[in-house]
Amino acid sequence: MDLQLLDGWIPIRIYWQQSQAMVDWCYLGTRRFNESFFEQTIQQCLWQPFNMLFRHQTPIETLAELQEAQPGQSPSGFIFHMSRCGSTLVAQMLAALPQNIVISEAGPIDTVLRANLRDPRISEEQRATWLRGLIGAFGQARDGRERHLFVKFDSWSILDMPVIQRAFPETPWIFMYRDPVEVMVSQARQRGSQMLPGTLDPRALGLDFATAQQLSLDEYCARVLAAVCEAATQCYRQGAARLLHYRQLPDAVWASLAELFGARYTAEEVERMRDVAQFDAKRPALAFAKDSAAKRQLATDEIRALADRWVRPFYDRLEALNDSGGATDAEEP
Amino acid sequence: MPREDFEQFRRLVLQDLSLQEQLRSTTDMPSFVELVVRLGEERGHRFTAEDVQAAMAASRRAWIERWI
Repeated sequence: MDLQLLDGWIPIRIYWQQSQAMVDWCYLGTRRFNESFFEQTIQQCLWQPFNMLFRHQTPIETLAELQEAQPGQSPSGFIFHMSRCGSTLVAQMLAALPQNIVISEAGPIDTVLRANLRDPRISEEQRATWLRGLIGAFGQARDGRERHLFVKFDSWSILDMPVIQRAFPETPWIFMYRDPVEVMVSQARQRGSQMLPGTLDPRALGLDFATAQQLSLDEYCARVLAAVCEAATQCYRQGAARLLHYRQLPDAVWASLAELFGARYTAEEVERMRDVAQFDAKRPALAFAKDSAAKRQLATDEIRALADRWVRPFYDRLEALNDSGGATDAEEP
Repeated sequence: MPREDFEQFRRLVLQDLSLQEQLRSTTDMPSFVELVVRLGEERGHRFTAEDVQAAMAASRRAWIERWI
């Protein structure tokens, strides 16, 4: 197809027509990804009747053709996380600056990374090629101000780090984490889809299907968090990556992360990011408040025991590797 | 056949930037559907408002069912 017809269009869905992987595109024009999550921006666009009715449908190979013809912005940094640890806040702070394209937990990325679960014949190399094309499409210039592209992955995507690093070996990345008791309390209150057996391949968690179904939801959650944190400890290399604890927010975004991602911020830009940090990243109408103490108080004995048994060893390893020196959180009462 | 006529028109729109601009400028649903029918007819494609709404429903369903 004439690739210029895709100017201003974004891949919103990967699907299969028989054995052919296809891309569903939506017109965004110059609209930025301002919402907390990719899906929210797309949903807003799909309210426009044109966008619901008229969408390009192309073979997935079009992504590579587009990338070859119009490479787009290379990714400046990747954000990985264990969930419920401030990653959305970091993404929103970066998205507050017009020079940043920030793609948060995009469905097409997850589909591509886990395509081998649908068809085991899809190789790691194939998934890496598709991922490069997809992120290349997200990095296309649409309003002319773009200078950086950041991708925040779903929390389980770090389990596919070999594919991601095959596609982008040079891209710096961070792994965000938090005391596992606090994360488990948050998940118990409102479970993410990855915390329900059946969403993730249990073999990636060191479980078989039958065992995964028999665990309590809290124990399953602990096993997912353990797998994610373990993957982070295995992938971490000083220099190419940074570990970021919840307690280091928000200042780390305009300090050590800027250096890692090759960004420079003016005083005005720092102030804009600081403003964003005052609000709840997932519910921007509400003020943000660090809630570590409150969450620890709400933890049941079972949650504490499960966190300590399954996740704590990897959390302690992350703390040891974190080059912040284990700064304490001075803002909690 | 109206459905095939609509699909031909849809393919035409996706190749024609000026048609896209015209269609994007109308955001309320009844006016949009009316415009789609009129622009289709002007280009020799005959389909009804119901055909357009059915196509819209199919697109919406594809999006909603994306996780299945």
